[in-house]
Amino acid sequence: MAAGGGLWNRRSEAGGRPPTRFLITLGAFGGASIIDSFLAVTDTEVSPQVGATLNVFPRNEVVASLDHPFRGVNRTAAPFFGETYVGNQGAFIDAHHGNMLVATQTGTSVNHTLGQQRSITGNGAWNGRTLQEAVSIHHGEGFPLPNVTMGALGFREDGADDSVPAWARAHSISDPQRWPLSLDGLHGIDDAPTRDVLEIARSVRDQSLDPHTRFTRTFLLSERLEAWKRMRGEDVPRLENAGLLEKLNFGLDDPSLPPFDPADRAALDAAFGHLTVDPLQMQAAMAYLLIKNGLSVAVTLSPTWNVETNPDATGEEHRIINTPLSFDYSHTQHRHTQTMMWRRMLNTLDPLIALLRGAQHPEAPGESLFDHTVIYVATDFGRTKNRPEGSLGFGTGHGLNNGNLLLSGNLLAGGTLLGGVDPSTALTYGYDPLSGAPMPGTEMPERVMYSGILQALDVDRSGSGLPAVPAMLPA
Amino acid sequence: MRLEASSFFVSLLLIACGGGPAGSSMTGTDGGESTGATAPDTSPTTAGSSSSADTDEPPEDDSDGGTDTSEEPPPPPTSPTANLHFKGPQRLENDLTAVLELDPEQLCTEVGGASCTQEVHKVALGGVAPYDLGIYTPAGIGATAPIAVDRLTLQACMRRIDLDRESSDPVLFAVPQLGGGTADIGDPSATAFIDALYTRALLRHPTEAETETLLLMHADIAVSDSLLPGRDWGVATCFAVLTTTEFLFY
Repeated sequence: MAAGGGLWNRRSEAGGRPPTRFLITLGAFGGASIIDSFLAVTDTEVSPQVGATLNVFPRNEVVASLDHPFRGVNRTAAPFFGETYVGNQGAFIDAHHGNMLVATQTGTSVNHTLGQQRSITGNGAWNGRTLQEAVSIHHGEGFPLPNVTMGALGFREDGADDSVPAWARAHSISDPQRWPLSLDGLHGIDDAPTRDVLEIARSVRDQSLDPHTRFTRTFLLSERLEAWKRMRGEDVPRLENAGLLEKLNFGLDDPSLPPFDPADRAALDAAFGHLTVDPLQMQAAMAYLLIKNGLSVAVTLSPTWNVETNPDATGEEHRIINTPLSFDYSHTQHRHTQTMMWRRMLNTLDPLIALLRGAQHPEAPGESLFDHTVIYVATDFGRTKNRPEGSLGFGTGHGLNNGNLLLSGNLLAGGTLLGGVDPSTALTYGYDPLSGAPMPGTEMPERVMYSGILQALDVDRSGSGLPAVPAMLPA
Repeated sequence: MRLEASSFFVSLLLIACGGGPAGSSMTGTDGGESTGATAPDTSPTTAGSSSSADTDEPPEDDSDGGTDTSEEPPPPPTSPTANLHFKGPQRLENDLTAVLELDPEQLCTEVGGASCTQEVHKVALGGVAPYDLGIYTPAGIGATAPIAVDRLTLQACMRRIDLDRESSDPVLFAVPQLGGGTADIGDPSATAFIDALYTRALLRHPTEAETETLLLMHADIAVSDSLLPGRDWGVATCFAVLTTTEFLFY
């Protein structure tokens, strides 16, 4: 197991606090439907008349096991843009069912942005504070960039809680491949003055020029100016002195840059097939490196609306790799887009989990980072459940009723399904947050998911009024 | 050198705005609280040997303490609202290209040739990327923004200084070189260089203290590990002025 670490400065040794816990939020941008994956309904579970107008699958496309409560859809989306795309959820479940928790949920918005935002705030469950902000406040103090987002749209937005300190807000990364350049003022700049010269110039600026201007005196009360000076004085040296380029620069191969850690290079190359061209794989790689190197405790990633392509095996043709959402594919080709959506999510999660499993938690000898991480597959919303009678190429709309996939090495009740699905309607139903007992006829509000995730991450929720959800925790 | 024209326009602008170089900059009070009211002898008038020299002379009846007065200028009032904004990628690009007379594509590129302001550091500097990344509103300015600013400005200054060193008609930097790659900072062109940076970037002249500080920086660089201390002093001076908060915020 590779040793993580780096900027970890603290804790178990000094204060006896439990090891730091981490949250990775993977946004299933566009809406990932839980009945097109782990709660799939087969046509054999309903009458032919009902099944003909519901989003149910042929029995031979759904896999199940006595070892766990999850189902998986194994089907091929074909032909789709002239290509076939095989969705094999069963393989993912076989590999990870012991670390999976699926819980039902019914959202409150079918607007993409609002749905995404509410998926990370529990619909304003705690004064509008995002999950990531809450985790940062509890676990991230002292980390250079505790809360990093690479997600898009609503998954990227800050929460509405003004009491969240600035350092716990999300730090935005737009391009994981080149972002490490912004961690050092000099590396990679050809013919630049030496670092000594740069530091002399910075010192003159910060010590002799800036403090004495009328501008500074006039705007003495500016919080933005104060924050800028604080970042310059504290964050910049901290980031630069940590030698982060060689720890995070997985994407730029240039002789002017410090060489990337060879062990991490080998691990990333083994995990990801298209790290140089796939933005989501780049995000996942960066998520791993940020956590492993002790920079962050909450990392968010997601694809976007855009069509993204990968070279195929020959390197000559390009295949669409993300879920095409624009031009109404998601509304007119439900099965195919959901096959693509879940394929994309699971193909990102699988290598990410492998990396986290292979890295030792610096504060917990013998335990992996995955043991102390919750991965939350957030989604805008679900999809409507009906289809035209007998149609296989049907479209769906945005639907509130849905559920979510969570994963963890050791922080969740692995292998657990909370709630269930009513085959006669394909609608999910709720569960008792205390016992986990299924409760047909009920629906789970967003705040339960929100609270359960924070509880699994041991976040202090005192005074929040959030419900206890022990059903999500390990026995 | 082409200091004259820009200094002339800056002077006109400042005078038109009321006070300008006459009331503050020329006295060295626009930027420094602690300097006396003595006029710097490095104004564009003297530094640029310009035909526009006369226009840079401050009015004698300047009420804010013109060049002749020795009174300590009153400290500026502190703004109760202090509503400052960081310039962001587009304003920074616009201002740096104007100050340094560079094309946007000359300003700064990162490994691989991508633009600093339009691509690599755009979001870090408070920009948006609606089409490719779904970032419709500016993210907050985070801890990496000051480093991104430093990279942007350092590269822009390097371009300007290196172009000037090779040019027979330099835009900003015309300081003669001495032995060992040092710069002749006793030459009037050194103070003219500093003055031009201030007038172009901050629309004021440097105070005596600021000029002196930047000239003294040469000595530090000369004993550093720099192989081209004269050139690097030019870059460092440009960098220091163009990354002051006075330049970065509005």
